[in-house]
Amino acid sequence: MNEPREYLPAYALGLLTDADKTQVETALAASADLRAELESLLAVIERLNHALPPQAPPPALRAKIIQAAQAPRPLSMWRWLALAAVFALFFGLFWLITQFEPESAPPPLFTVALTGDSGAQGELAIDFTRRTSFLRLQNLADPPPDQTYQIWLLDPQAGNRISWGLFRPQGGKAELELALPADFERFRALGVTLEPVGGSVVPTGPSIVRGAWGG
Amino acid sequence: MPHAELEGLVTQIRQRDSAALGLLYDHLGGYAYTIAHSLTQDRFLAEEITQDAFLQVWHKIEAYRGGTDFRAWFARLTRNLALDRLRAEERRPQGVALDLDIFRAHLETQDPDLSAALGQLPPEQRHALELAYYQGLTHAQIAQQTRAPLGTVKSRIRDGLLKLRALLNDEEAGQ
Repeated sequence: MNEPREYLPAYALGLLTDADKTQVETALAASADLRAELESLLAVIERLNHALPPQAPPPALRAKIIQAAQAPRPLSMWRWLALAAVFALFFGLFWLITQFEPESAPPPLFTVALTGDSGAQGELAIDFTRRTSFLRLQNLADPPPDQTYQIWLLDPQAGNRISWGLFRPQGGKAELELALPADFERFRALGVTLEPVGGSVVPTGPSIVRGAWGG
Repeated sequence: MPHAELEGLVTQIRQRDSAALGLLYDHLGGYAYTIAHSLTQDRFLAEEITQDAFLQVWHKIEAYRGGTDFRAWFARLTRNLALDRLRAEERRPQGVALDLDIFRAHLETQDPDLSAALGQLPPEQRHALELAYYQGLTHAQIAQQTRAPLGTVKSRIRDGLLKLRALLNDEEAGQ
């Protein structure tokens, strides 16, 4: 690539190849002058955008987007591989430490087996350090069109439970990343039930899998 | 919506406030859908692209570093998602033909100054720029359609956009 500035019009219009785009973005990150130049070109495109014949989106799109934003995110294969590597490293280190210090502190990372009468099974891997978790389930039946699976966290002391998200499996499987809520430590179990689309306030459908931790 | 209010919504989205995402949709949903529809001419594709754009804002808001015009950033994100979809399918949905005259006519009524500025570009620059902007064609596709060398097409688009910017700046300075 010659002078990155020459590529900015094509960049602003979305015309560059991935390789050229990466080079322009590298140059942009290093130069306030280039960023200002890009801003001024985007302002022209903004003006063209505003003069497009307006189109109204379907009324249901807003709710669809909000629901999709609140749903747990499926994990990519690479994130599962990365997680598997982290787990292997962690358990290797944990095994080494426990050889010399049997009374060491509870691990910041562990897995919970999830089982149910339906034949579905899986595991929840909790990473307290990164405040996230990874839920993997298999042998799930496809829910009817008007139903969905709902994840619950259970607090045995308070005797209540909260919804942790909705999902539909793909090919009988689900792989999701779930951020730990701020008060996650009060929960001691996870359950998945079948609920009407949109979810329920409390579990109303059959239990699909369940797992507990922390005694 | 003023720039500062949009930035406020972005801050709330960074804090995982889904109500702020809803408010952002109220302000930019139609805008995103219009951009996506203008390129794809397909309601279903436009709906999917609009949803993808808002979900990228929700899940990857760190990509927007602030200090710039969020609206322009979001428009570029939406446009790029639409272009990616068009290029992945290597064509528009069958039976769809974009008519530049429709866009030109609307532009003339909606923004006469912008329309006049476009009219001042050399015809080959204007045509190349319109094919790139309205139809989302790549450099190579425009070269094929206009039967011009690839390097010439690149120059026409670059020079056309830079000249259009200069004309609009002159117009603003003259007001």
